[in-house]
Amino acid sequence: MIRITKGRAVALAAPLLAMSATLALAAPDRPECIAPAQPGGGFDITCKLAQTALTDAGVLDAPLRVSYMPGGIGAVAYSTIVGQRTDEPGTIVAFSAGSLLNLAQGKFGAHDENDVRWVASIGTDYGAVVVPADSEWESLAAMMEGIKADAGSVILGAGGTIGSQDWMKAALTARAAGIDHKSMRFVAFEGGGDCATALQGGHVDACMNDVGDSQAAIDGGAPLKLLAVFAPERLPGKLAEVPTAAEQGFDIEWPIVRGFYVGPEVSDADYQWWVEAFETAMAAPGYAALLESRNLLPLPMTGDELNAFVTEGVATYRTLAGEFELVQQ
Amino acid sequence: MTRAGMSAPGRPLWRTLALWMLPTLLFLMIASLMLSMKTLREVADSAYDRSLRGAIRAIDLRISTESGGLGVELPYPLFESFQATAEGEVLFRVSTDDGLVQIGDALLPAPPPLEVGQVVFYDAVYFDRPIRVGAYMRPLDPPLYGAEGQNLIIEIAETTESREAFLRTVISRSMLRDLAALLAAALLLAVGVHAGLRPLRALRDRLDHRASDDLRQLDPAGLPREVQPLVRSVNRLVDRHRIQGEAQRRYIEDASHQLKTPLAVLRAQIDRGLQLDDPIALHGVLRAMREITDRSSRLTSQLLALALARNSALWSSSAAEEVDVTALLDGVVRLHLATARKRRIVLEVEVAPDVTTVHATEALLFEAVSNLLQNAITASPAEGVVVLSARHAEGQAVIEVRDDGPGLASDLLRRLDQGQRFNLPRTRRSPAASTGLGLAIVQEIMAAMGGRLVLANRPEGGLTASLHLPKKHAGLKAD
Repeated sequence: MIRITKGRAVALAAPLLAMSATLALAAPDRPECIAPAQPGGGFDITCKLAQTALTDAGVLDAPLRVSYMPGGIGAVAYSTIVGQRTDEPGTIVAFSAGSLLNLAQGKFGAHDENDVRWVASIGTDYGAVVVPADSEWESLAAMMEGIKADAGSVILGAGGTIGSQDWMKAALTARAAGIDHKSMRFVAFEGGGDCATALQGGHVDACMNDVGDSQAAIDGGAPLKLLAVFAPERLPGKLAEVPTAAEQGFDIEWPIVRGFYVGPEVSDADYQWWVEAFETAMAAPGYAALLESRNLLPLPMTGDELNAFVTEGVATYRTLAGEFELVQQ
Repeated sequence: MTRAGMSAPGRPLWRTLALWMLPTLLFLMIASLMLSMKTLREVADSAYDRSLRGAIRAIDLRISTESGGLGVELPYPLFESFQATAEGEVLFRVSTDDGLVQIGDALLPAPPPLEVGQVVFYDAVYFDRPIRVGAYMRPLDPPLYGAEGQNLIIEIAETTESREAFLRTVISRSMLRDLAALLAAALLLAVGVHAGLRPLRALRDRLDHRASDDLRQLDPAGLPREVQPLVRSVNRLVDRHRIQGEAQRRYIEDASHQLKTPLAVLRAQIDRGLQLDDPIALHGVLRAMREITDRSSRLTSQLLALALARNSALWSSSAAEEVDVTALLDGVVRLHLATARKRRIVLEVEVAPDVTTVHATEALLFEAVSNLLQNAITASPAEGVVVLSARHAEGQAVIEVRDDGPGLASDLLRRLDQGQRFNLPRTRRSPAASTGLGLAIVQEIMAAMGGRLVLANRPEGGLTASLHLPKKHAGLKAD
């Protein structure tokens, strides 16, 4: 048993500190994280997580600025980064599995996944179905029955329009329940945050959101409840009470990787800096706690590992989109 | 509803007017309603579309591109106030024309091709419900992510229950209003007719209260103009009756005058006879008296016959029967045989084989033929021939009396042809020729039976007097 003496602790921490000090010195000016949606959604949480993690790890002196660029669930931001702000060293953009799904369908304009440089993924989320706390539905099955009975009277909301990952979750569930996915009434929002607001206002009956943003809203006092999570098994912590979709008879999983990319013209040095910054931040001891507080699970990948993951993901989504006749191009 | 003075079985005037006016009015109303429905729909649409237009503008104001992206402030609070006045649902969609951004109801039907800066309204179907959509396209300036020429499309749709309910309300109100107008028109019509015909009812009352012999003219003042011709005709009828009444009065005066004269002469003869002692002279006076008496009785019976004929209009038609023509003519001949034989006049009867009976009142027909035969015998020269005949001609029965006498003056015949009737001569100087009275009687009888007396001079000299009788005559009936 190695006794951790104060001296040894300092000795162990020193290189880390040194490394982060070095990194902090090379940090780009005016670092910015763009959440390509309205505030309150998954991208917002991703950027805010990065903001906290990078500052906590000492990588950045001044906290990361979070800005919002809604439009097409990342389409506008993607096109802006690829077309206009191609080489800003300090700008990272949040992405999720949904972005990859949209890329697969060609919804990001004439761009594909190779037009940006994928930096890191900092965690994984899962899809969830959220309804008002006083909704008559107590389970996913009940909600599907309600839609089957009268498709025109149930309004589903999602951050994203037809073909987006939120819609895909609904379509998969409908398919599993034997409902024609084309007959579902669907309202698109720019992000889970707007959807949750509409849900509370009674303008939609259910939101196909993510665990992260939904639980954050519930934690913030919103009168909502989760009907199901699209995870392989129940999530730890306060989410252990929410059944999975599989438990309720819908064998659907939807993990949502959350990460960042930078513009295609960003210099290798700056790109590498970001990679190392995230590696450091995710290795920091407090990171696990940060993830947990945001109801996310760890999925740390950077650099090439992430690239491979992205390429594979896009290919998978392309097939899935084809099943639902969604590919345009 | 009173009958407005019309006779009981007749149709009420107001109903006739109503049957003419009301269906036409109804048809016109329905036609105008159908024509205005299209206009109503357009007007309703333009009114409701205005609020859609306002909602589009309101959403437009909530769109922000400051972040470099496209953010829309959720319009639900706006829709709540919108839906408070409407009855249905409001849907919206905001998108870029390149399809990268789409916020709102994803299943709204695609809009028709839009022109920049214009709001277009159209009808569509959403989940089996009819909706009305307003779509507006405007350029995004500057365009997002450096795209070239990007447009923003804002669509707002509402379900059409509100409009339909509005249209139904307007149309049903229109119909109710028109129906009420129709009923009011009918009511006014009835009231108007009732009021307009009140003078007629007053007239009826006046007439009902008249004494039976009151033949004064009716005063048409105060009656509707359309009725005044009727009143004038009634007055003319009354006048004719008055004239006829006066004629009858005169007739009675004349008749009594006629009878007075022979009676006076008779009285004079009696006075003279009383003064005579000579039996032969007395015998002469007695003979003269007998002649006067004969004449007077003849005159009396003729006057009676004339009165009978004139009054025959009051008899019912049950007095008419099928009269055996041959028997009648024989009877007439027998009556006058003695008179004819005195001057050795031959009387002949010719009845055509196809004539058996005529439809007439026997007594009157007998009297008519008898008068004609009497005249013929009087006019005929001694040893002349008088022929009575009966035949069918042109659907009528014709009984003729022909003589060889001097005939009648041609201008008298002409006047008769023109329809002049023989009147009782005012002064009777010559006691012998009672032609005038006899023919007057025949004319009256013929008029009563619906026939005609035709007189013509024969080419070989003499007179033909014919009675033309319809097969079934329409006379002898109450008017």
